[in-house]
Amino acid sequence: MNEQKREQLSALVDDELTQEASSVIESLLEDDEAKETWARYHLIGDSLRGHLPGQIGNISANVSQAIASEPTILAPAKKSANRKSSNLMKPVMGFAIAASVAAVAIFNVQQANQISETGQIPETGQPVIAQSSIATDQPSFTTSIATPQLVNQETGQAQIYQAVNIDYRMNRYLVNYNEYRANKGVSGMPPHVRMVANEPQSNK
Amino acid sequence: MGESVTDKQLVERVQNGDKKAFDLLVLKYQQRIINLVSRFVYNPSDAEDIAQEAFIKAYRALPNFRGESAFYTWMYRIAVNTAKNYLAVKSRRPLESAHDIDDVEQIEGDHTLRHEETPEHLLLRDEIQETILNSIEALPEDLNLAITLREVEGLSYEDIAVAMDCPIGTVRSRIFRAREAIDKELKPLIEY
Amino acid sequence: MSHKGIRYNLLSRFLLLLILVPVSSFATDQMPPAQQLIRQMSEANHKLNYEGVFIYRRQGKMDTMRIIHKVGENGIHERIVSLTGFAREVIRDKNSVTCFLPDDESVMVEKSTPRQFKISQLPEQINKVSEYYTFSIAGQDRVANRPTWVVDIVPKDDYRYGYQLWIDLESKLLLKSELKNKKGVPLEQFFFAKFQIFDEIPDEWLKPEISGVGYTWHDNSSEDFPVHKGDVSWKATWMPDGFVMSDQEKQSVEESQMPVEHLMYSDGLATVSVFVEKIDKPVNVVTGPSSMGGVNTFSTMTDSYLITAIGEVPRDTVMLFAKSVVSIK
Repeated sequence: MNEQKREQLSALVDDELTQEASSVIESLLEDDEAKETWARYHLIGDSLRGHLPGQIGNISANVSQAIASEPTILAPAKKSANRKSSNLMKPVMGFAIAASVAAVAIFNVQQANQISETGQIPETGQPVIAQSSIATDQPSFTTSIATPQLVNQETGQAQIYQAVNIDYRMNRYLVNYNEYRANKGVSGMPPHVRMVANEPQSNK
Repeated sequence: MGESVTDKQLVERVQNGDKKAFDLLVLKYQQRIINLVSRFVYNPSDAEDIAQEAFIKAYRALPNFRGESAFYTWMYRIAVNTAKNYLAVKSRRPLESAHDIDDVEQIEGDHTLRHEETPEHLLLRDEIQETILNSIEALPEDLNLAITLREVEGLSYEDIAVAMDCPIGTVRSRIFRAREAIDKELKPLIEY
Repeated sequence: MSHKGIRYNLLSRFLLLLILVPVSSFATDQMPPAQQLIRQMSEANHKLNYEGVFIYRRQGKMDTMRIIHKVGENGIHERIVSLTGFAREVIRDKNSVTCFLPDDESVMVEKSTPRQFKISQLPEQINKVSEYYTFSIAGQDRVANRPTWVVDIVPKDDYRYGYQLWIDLESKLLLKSELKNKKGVPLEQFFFAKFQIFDEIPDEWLKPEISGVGYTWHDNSSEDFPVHKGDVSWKATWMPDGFVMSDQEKQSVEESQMPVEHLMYSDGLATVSVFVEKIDKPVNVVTGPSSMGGVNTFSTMTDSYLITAIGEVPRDTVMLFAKSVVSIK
């Protein structure tokens, strides 16, 4: 399996192939090596998201064998009328925004490309990014100082607080603390970032 | 996480007679399903047996699956029910000896497969995770960030492109190169 | 030029350098003392408009957010919105802080602390603070494709955290920071992936995407809930060297008859808030330690008062703070 195919496979794993998906799936079905790569790519994601069992399983061969002796499915007559439309049409913007808040600035590189020579704003009235921010060359993320792995500072039983929970009182304290911190001379990152951060949902 | 377009396509293929497409769904979700049913049994062998049974049941029920929910959501429910049935059945069998819990010979029911002999080298999660994490840590910052935003934060390529201020093609390429590097370390550990 | 979001042009940049950097150290290769850089950083934050996308990391989790930062005669007007997971937002201006929490379908509004920040206060604070921290410049680095100075702040005892700050060479704005414990292990990281300075920022950029219609509003910002300075009945009797009480407030809140006392302590760099609140019905009151990123909290009940210490300091520090709080009346 060549590199281009593996790259397509990687994009398929992320649901980011549109037109090509069908043909990539086709070749995936016939190629054992590709199937194994498909399985390992998913294993990586499962590992990072904490979905792995204590002992890594390997049941696909058994399932495949069992199914071989099952009757082949013939498609039901038609799909239900309520079938959701395909996700293939993604919103143009970088992230989904309700139409009713069009007044909010949207940073859109494609829109910025429409700037005329005089720097006029396009008809929509959206503000535009200045020319210098359109990334045509590779932006750099290189840092010469290595970033060590962030670790849990505590060895004890500190409870990890989630900003959305029943304890509204603590939220109120935190907001006030953050505001104090933000106004008091020197700080590192803007303190309110912690309130905006999404903690994991424990029950979902 | 939203519905997977790929899952939809695979389900459609199975519903149109392509059994091999089901393999891909099993390969994608087997770890999650095994992990899920492990809550019900403490023997990893049993968990695998239950997971197998659940996938087979899902295959049989697929003609009736109309896509009202995502495939995984539907699969999840089948797996939980299968696990509960397994426990219900097991509790009815008299215990032959105090050591019986580890020795369940057979599950009552038509088409349950016995799990194959455990291979000599057990593939343990901790080993795998450590390999993967070390591998990611060793990646250059842009690859590390791209794969983390994708796999841990679940961002789309488009959103990652915004976050990393680069074209989508670059995002796709970085994620692929990250996977290649991790896979290089992972592959020798896994023998299918 | 009438359109908004005018880009930061060469002339402004030149003028800015004149304002922020003394003429004698105009050449950017000269290494200024760390404390001077930090002071310039704070000044820049009060003088410059910027916008960017940044990453916030802690304990293996990562979030991406956008910040829009506008300055004016009314002080700082700032908006931070999450780009990952739920689209939470915080918007702050001179009057209040508003937090939109779509995952909870609630909105919280609190009063802003009256502006105590005076640029002239800083030099004294920074000088005194070097008794408890060591400041140094670690070198140069690049963040968001811009050259930066890297400043190290290392605490001299175990009661405080340290920092590493990456300060933009040109504008002196903060582009990256790490919160570290005394051993130098990073607990939190913040860095810009995309960053830009603007001459002007239109107010629309600071409006929330979420309307909050249908949400539960917890609004403590109105005149019905006044804030009184001083007049507090509690104080902390223990704190690490160099900490002093910098402010005290008593605020009425909508969900309780009794006002909440807010005592503020600082050593010039780190801050700790202590809240004392009378609890009518002590159900669902969580006590003990908790943490949120780099912030630790500790709560304890005395009689029917809940005492909570919160700070960007180690867990033991907030615990000792909270346990040392006594009534003074």
